[in-house]
Amino acid sequence: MTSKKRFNQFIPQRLKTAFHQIVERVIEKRIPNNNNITLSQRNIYVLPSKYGVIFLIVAFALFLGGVNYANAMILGFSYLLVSLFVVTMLHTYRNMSGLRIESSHGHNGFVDDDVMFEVNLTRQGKRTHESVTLMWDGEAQSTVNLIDCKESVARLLITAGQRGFYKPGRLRVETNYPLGLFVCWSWLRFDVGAWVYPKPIENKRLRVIPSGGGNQSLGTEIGTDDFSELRRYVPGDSLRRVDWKAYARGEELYTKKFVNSVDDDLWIDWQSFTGVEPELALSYVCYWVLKFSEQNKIFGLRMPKETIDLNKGVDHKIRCLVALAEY
Amino acid sequence: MGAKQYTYHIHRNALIWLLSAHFFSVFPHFFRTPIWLVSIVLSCIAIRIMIYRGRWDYPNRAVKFVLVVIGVVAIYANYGAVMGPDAGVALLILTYSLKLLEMQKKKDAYIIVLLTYFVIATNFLFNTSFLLTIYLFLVSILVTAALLGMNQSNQQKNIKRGVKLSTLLLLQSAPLMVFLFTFFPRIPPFWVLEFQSGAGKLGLSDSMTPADVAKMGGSAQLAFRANFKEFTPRSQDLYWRAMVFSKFDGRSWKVGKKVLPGDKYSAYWYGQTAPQWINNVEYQGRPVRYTVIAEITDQPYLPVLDLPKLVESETGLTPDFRMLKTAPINAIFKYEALSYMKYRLNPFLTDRMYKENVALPEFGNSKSREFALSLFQKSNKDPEQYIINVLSHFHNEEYSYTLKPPRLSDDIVDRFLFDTRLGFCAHYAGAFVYLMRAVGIPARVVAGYHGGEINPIGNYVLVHQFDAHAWSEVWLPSKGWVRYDPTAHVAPERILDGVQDLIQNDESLGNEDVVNAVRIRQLPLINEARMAFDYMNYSWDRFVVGYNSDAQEGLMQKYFNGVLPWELVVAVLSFSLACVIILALVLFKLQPGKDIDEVERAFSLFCIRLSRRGVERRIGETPNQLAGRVKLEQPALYDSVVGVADLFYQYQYARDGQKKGGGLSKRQLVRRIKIQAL
Repeated sequence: MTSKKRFNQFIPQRLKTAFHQIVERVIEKRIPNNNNITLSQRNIYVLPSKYGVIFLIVAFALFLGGVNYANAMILGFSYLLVSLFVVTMLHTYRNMSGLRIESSHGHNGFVDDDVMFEVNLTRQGKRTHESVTLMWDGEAQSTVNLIDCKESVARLLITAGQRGFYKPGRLRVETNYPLGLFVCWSWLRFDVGAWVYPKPIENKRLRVIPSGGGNQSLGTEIGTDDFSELRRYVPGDSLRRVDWKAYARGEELYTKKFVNSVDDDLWIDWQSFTGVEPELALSYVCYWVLKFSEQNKIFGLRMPKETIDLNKGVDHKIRCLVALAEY
Repeated sequence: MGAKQYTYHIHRNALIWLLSAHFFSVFPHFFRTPIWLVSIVLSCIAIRIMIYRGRWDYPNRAVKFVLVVIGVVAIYANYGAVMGPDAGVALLILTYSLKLLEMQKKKDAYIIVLLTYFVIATNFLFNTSFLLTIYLFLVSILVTAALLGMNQSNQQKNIKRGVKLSTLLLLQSAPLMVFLFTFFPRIPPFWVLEFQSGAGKLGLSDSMTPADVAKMGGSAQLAFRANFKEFTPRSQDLYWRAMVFSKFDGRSWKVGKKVLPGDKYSAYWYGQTAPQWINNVEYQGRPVRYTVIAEITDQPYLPVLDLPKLVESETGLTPDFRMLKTAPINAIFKYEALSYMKYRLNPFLTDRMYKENVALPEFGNSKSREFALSLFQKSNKDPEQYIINVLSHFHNEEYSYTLKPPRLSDDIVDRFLFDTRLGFCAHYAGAFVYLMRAVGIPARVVAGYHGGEINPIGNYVLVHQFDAHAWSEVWLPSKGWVRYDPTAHVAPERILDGVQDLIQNDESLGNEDVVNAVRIRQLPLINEARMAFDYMNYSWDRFVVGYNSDAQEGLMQKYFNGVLPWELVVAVLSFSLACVIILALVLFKLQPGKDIDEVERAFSLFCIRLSRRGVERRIGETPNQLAGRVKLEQPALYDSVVGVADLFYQYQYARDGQKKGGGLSKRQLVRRIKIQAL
């Protein structure tokens, strides 16, 4: 890695960008945006890996040895290695081709937290696929086996850095299987994205106007309700509520559910946060949106450009959060 | 550096195959390497297992460094070198095994696996037999499985899968390998390597000192095989010439002039301009054509019948008609040969040659000299009469043939001729030549092999080390060099029946190795099996191991006569490509197609049966949803539908690693779905 970086220093920046543009254009032409792609010779690339080159060097050394010692068997063995190399190339390619990859939607997340993309892999016919790695933007990684089962879902988590609508770059599907002598990869662009909400920050600055009128400052009295049970994950659930520990144990995705609270309509008003730096204000607002949703309260959101009416439930919460993300 | 760095945890599947491949690739070397090296290899494997199980930690750098230094010093002490096949392989094994102890990164694991391929191939330096080749192919499957295991994800728990797939990979590689082996142009060696293969150490030595030998060694090991083209001469006529000893120092007989590889002046190499002396020979009669497959001897001497003609590349003839290879035979060497059983060699003897072949040490063996002179007088100074008299002396006096002669000292010829009178071929040949030279008749000792065992399967001759023999050549005016075998006059049965029969009659004559070999030959069934096995090895050596550039050229001439080299290259490349394409077609025949799973079909048949009872499965309805609807519409059928749905789910949605269908086989599942009553 370090040697690669050192080498990179010597390439002028302009050349690098020009090169990237060319590569991007070629890929764009060959692998257009699509949410359902079947890998084939149109979008798969194969090259020998570093170890593949070492393997060939070993084969060549044996060839020289066989020639010099006039040893037909050593020669034959070097031919066997060369043949194995060629056969491995076909197998590496085969391990990718025919794999159907789908990605429909992303799961929204908060700044500095993870957004999740689900990638669905399906095999066709009798083809099997082993050790196929999916990589998104260099960090989200997942390795999938499709041998006995027909399809598999890979969940890729990407740390969201900025508020707004996050569109990941190309998905890199890669495999070294079976022998690691070749890298076989494809770059797929999916038309997917996820909302990145502001990071919720706890605060007591909200002036709450209960529907009955009056002006009351709310603060600590709205405590977090106790965690009560787990239920199956439903798309749209907050990723913060997902029981990741259980998922890591190999169980399914579960969402932690909290007890309902007394209904009480409330308005979250942007005006409450005047004087606060906008990003921070958004974080504050976000905190309250989450808090009220958690307590299952009826609330509304008043933003400078948009007003979301009193409501409750998951859809309402998401509408509010998207409004914040969009701001 | 001091802090512990990231450690690569090799996948269990990979480690198991890696360690077994490691062991089995080194195993054939165990018989050639010192015992301490074997124990280092075994302890490295054991330590690696302990590290994997988390019991022990990786040894630190100082320990590893000390181990490497000790190992290298020990190898140097043992072999006197760190280069050459023996020491080189030992060094490779040492470092390769110690590398196991620092397999901390993925790179290290890869290097070990790739080195294993190399270590496997080094076994061929010492042995190229059919059985070993099969064995090494199996070891290659293990290494490939290790490489495969390294590329499997940790979720893959099935260990056998790796071996199955690597077997498949290697079998698929075989056709292309066979093609390359046959047609890829063979290149002659770039430089001649003077190396000892370490496998030989047998065969003839370049001096002969019968006086020092208390027991004729010999072993049951094969020296070479020969296959005659038109007719096979009688066994007793097979004098395989390998060495000519024309120097005598009073104790040992030595080769007149050692020829170094590529020495243009002292030998006539194939393809070079013929020197003058080569015309000083007359070949008569019909030639004998044969192919010899020589085992590894680490010497350049090629046994050929009297009198050879130069027909094979990479070989040469010396003026005393020894056939040599350009380099020592360090791999099985196949050569075509052509000999004339009738010939006139050197009808004119050069001064130099004359002097060389009458030379004797100035002093010593006075009794023999006197005896020779008086016998020569009695023969009227006629060389041929003299020879007859000497031979009848051996025949009539109390001389006897033994493989266990007494040791001789001082004037060895005198002691042998007049005191002990016990000896084997070297004693008689030596004494005979001495008696010739004593009266000024040029003579020399020729050593090689005599006779051989005919394998009726395949009809070829097997010559073993115990067939080693020595005889004499005497130069007679106008006749040239004439072969005389004094042993034939002492022990005619040795020449007629070979040394085997001799040992058969008196087992105390041979060493254990030879006696065992002779005993086996007396058991008819086992002997036949031995012959069949040898025929297999012979064919392997002849067609596979012995497939060299000449054999390739022959094949090309036979089938592709007139094909230009570049056309051949194009043909090789395009055929390789064709191989790959055929393989690709085979691989991709498993195209994404409409293969309906048997269980799925059973389920849809079940749905058809269900529809007859009035519940139609809706499009997109899952089995569970269907069961839910059945519960409402036809509660009586609910139990069977739920049962089938459960079976279907168990089968369809089992995760990798989990047992499909709860451990039921596909057929069992299908049957259970089918028999479900409605």
